[in-house]
Amino acid sequence: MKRSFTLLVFFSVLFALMGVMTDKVHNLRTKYLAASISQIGRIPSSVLVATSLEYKGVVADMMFLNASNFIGRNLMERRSPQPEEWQTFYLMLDRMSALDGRFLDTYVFAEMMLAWQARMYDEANSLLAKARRYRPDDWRMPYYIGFNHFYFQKQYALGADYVMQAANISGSPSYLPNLAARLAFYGSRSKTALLFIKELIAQNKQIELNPELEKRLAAFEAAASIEDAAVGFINRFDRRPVNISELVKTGFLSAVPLDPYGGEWRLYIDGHVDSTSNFVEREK
Amino acid sequence: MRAVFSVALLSFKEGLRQRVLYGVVLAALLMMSGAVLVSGFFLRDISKVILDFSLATVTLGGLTIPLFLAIHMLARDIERRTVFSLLSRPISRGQYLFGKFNGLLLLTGLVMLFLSIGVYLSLECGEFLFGERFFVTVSWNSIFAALFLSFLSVMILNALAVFWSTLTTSSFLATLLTVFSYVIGHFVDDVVRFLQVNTTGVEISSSIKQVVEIAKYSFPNLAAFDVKSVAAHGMVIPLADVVFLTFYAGIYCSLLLTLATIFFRRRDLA
Repeated sequence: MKRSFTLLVFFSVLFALMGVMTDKVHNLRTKYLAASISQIGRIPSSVLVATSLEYKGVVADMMFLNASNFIGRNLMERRSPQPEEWQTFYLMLDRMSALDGRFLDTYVFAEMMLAWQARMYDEANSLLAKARRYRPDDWRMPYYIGFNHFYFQKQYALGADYVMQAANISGSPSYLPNLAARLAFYGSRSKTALLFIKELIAQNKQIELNPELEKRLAAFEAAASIEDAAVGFINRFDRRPVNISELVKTGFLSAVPLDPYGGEWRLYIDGHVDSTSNFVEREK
Repeated sequence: MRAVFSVALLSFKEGLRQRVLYGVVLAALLMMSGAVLVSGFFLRDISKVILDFSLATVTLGGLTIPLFLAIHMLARDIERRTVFSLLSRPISRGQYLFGKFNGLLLLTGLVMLFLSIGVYLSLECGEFLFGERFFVTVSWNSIFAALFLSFLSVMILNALAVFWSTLTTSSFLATLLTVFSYVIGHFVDDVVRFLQVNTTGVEISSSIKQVVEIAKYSFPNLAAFDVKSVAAHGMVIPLADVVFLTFYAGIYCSLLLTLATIFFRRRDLA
């Protein structure tokens, strides 16, 4: 009885010690964990594929977790990755696509991060072009490429062509053919961006991963509402509005919407709207 | 046939007595539960991630039999001389080996069946936690096909374990050779494909090509049995492919067991 009691006390002491140490060990490791990314992407694809044996899917999943952790840490620490880190990130996504070509998260991540954050449009497009080989039935891949050409690279005709290709894939949203036509004809940007971001948010269950996207959505919603009001104004008065205030005065806009980035709206002669903030956070 | 059945049943019961097996099943089920939780960190392909992990776990669970249990059981029969009590009955050495192999096969089937139930449960849990829309691509036909092909690849490894155990006197060496066979089996097809691509400026010596050619015909193409990714994405696995691979596995195992019988007949067990 006495021995059992001694053992129980001994166990309780050890258990309490372990409880205290667990947090200490966690903290100890934190200082070694800079927001770094695995260098596994530097291994040639063929070697990585062969050495993953029959666990290619699992290896791709683990690599995704590492890449996701890298992005999450940078967001937490409000730090922008360096160009060489983005290059490693791209290589990692490329190897993930070699291990599991149909893995959708790789391509959604490529679009979200490489195109929107790193501004590595060619790299994002090359991954998305790869995705088209493995996911020929997925309209989102040509759609993303089209958007990158249109919005980031200002290649309007090419962008419209890709969106049209996306529209031809069964299961694509009904608004795509109209959008493609509009892209080709008007080159209007805010509405396209709005639709695109909405699609991205719909695809991304973990939208809290990137609150920046939510802010952009609000900005494009505001810009698109001004553009729509301008179209309504032109249809009724058969002339262009002088400025945004005129849209408010004539009731096409209830009030001038707020730019979440703190800029002033500008209405151009072609009906296109942008902001002096360029939708970029001002340095504090 | 009766003799083979008796040895198979005996080996199966002996295998069930190995407590390590229950540990493996428990660890595998825990790993699958972990996979369900981890899948929440992914953006879209949640069912794919759960299936990647759980199908890999079924294979890993099955692999414990040829890589650890099979050789241990065969070596122990010889070391403890229980093989004599069996061979003193009207059971030939070939029947003994074939019976052992079938016992191991039953054991593998049982373990993988248990773990396959785990696959079902983890998918159900995932669907409950994250919603139906992430599980629309799940195809049970493909999952069954992937699990069956995975079982066949472990069956081939069981035959390899039996083969290497009859060829060597050391159980450590037999384990090592079985592990190597497993790795080469998954490697060789990719190496063959790599050599088939003519890259300008890269010269590959004819001796390397010959070695690869020999390995291609000597080792099983285990990579062909790996359709886990296909199943994880809910793509179709044609029945004709499954039937063809079943024949291939059957022929390869028969060949190995025949060779093993030839070696085992010549072996001095005393």
